[in-house]
Amino acid sequence: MLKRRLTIICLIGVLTISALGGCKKNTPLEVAGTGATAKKDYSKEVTISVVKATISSTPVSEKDLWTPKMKEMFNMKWDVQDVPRDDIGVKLSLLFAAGQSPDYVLGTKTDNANLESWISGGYIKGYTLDELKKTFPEFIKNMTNEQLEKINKYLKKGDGKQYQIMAPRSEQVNNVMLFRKDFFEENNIPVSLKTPDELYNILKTYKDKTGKIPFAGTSGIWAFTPIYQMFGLPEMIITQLNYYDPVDKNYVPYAFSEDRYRESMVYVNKLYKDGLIWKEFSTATRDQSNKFLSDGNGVILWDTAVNLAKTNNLTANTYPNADWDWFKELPTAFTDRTYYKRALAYNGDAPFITDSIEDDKYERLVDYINWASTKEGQTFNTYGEEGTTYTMKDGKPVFNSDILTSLNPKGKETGKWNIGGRGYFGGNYMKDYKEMYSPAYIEMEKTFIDKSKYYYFEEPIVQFNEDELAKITDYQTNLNQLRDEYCLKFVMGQLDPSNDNDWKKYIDALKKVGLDDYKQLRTDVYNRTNK
Amino acid sequence: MVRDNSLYSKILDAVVHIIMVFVLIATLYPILNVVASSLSSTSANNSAAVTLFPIGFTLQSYKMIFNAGTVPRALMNSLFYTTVAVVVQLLLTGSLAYALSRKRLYLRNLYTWIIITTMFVSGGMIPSFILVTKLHLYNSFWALILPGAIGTSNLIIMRTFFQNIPKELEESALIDGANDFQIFWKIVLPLSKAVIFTIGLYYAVSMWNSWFSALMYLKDNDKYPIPLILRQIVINSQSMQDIVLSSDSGSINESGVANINGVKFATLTISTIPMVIIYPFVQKYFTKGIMIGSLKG
Repeated sequence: MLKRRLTIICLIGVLTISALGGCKKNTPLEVAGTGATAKKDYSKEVTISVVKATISSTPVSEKDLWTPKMKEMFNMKWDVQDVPRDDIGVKLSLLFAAGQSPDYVLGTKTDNANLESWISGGYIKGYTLDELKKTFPEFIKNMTNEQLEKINKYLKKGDGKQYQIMAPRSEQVNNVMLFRKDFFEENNIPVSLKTPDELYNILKTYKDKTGKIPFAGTSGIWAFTPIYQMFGLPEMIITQLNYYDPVDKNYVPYAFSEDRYRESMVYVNKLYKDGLIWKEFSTATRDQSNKFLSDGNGVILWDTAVNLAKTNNLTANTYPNADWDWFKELPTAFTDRTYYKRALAYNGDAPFITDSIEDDKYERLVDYINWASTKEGQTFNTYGEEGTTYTMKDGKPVFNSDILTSLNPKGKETGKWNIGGRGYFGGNYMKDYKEMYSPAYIEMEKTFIDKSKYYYFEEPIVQFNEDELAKITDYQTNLNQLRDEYCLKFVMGQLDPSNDNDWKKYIDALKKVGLDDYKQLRTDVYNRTNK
Repeated sequence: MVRDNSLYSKILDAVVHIIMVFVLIATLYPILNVVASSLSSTSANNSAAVTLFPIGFTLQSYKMIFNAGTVPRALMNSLFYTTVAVVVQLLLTGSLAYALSRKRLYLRNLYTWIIITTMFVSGGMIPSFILVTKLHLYNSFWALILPGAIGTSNLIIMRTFFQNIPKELEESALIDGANDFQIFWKIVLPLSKAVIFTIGLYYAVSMWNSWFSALMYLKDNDKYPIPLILRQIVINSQSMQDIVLSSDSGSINESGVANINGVKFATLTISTIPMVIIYPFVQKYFTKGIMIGSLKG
């Protein structure tokens, strides 16, 4: 018995000592310096470890163009790890916490929930505006000063630094109202969409003539974004929550307690009551939505003009002659203005360099980014190698006939030649690409930008400190939960948004979870940021 | 055997059979639907018209999968990992279970207690990841096998089984001069086919379906197992669908590229084939061994 007790005590002691020994602090990795050296010494080969957030990865099955090019130009190799975009947060957090930080990360979105924690954890290299200009001079040339400062204002954190190397967005207008032109022609309906009444009449006509549901919005509260816009709210208001009106020149801290939102709910409720909206709008999956269109439902759709072919293909199951087109105007509830959606000033995702990168690797990577920003770099990263993946015709690069493009859907992806997905540093040299392979974007931009009495919302710049961010997040969680709940009630008629008592019920519920404090805090921070 | 031919018994039989038919339909329908969708055309899948039989029979989805190379490679990876994992896990679990089943093992209860504690507490994801990297297992398939090589619940099941093997067999072998290893290998294991096949099947199914460890510990795409590839296909199917459907080729229902639902279901079908093939061969051991872990009198 005594022997057993002694053995147990010894074992416990061993366990305790090993646990304490394991808590020994590791010495921190050396932090790399900033800026490139004047002398380019590429004699030593470097390997950059890269984590890339991907939608799908294409195995390299043709001649690898990328690896020898990087070897030739920078004596550099990339060790790339593809991670599914949905898992990038978990994977990177794990790598950072375990001290296995990669050198370079591609494809993370600006609204990635983990980005703030990575920044505050010191894992990402940040740059002031001056540091950005000094370190990436070629990249800076891809945008005007105004674009650079605007992007910096959006992205910089409380310490004044920007952590992602963000280029301006290429496509400026990407959402329009699609309509089935064949239905309009068959029923002699004028192709005009200027007012909510016109929209209603088109939808009602389709329902009466075909018995099918005319409005094809899905995904719950997101189904009605074009209707919010029609009544004077930004199309992305669901995530933005606040806006600055460019016509009235006033700041609204929380759109969902205002009259414009109420008017939009009244309108949507009317559409729902008259059977013009799909009853499964809030719960339908993507497959169910495609089946919905495939069954001949939908005569008006809020989407991008680039998706006309896709929509035709879906609808053709029921209407083989389906011919989708897009309105060159948008409906508005106002007499003096129409709002349209303009894309954010900056690209959706951007790379960042981690703080643990070694000096020589950092210099090489900076040189690469500057080269990738030039015409040569942009051409290589988009088109590949002349003769292999593209040829020059009339001074413009044209993909070979075996390459996948919007004009050749049966082609092979450029990923098979290991081209693409290395970061976007500006497309100012890619106008030819846009003209040839994405002409719909150019047409949408030409139609709406600078159109008379057409206005767009710029995302307000609001910079919170840590405490404010925590408070705002708390308020927002509760407010948005109520917003979503009451939206469904208003749409489906459980509550009447035109009834003052029902609307007051909604507002009182919002106030109970801190609406007034939330609005005040947002307004104060907005005024402080924009003074 | 005395058979009960009373009316009550016959009615009961009929009711049981009817219920079982419904259960069979409910079980078989999704499987047949998946297989039928994998063999159906783009338009049939888009309009969700497929039920039990393919509509617009086509092998396009399977051709696309095998041409891409990702799925067949992942399938071979999964087969390899599962085979190696089952062998390693059975060896380790079996030998530990045998040791713990012998009463003469010193501090047997303490070891058992420590092992059972791991069922309730673990180091967590980050310490596990650090351990794997420090052992230089990162990006190696051993990272999928070794950290979870001994499942505690499986260990307890095997230990219970070994405890019920008569001691006299061991004693007679000892008298004949056999050592512990020889007793384990030549006497205990041959008598333990039921538990080995049962636990082996548990390990095999668990390893076959495992994707999270692969996501965490593997870096190279060509080492990914089939569940991870399938997950990527399913999650990313919308992005792929936009690419597939954005065809200006003028062809209404067949864009020239395989339909995404067809590809999803074809991948699902391919990933389940090995388990479907193996199961009939181990079924008799499985049904025998399903109650192995239960209490004995």
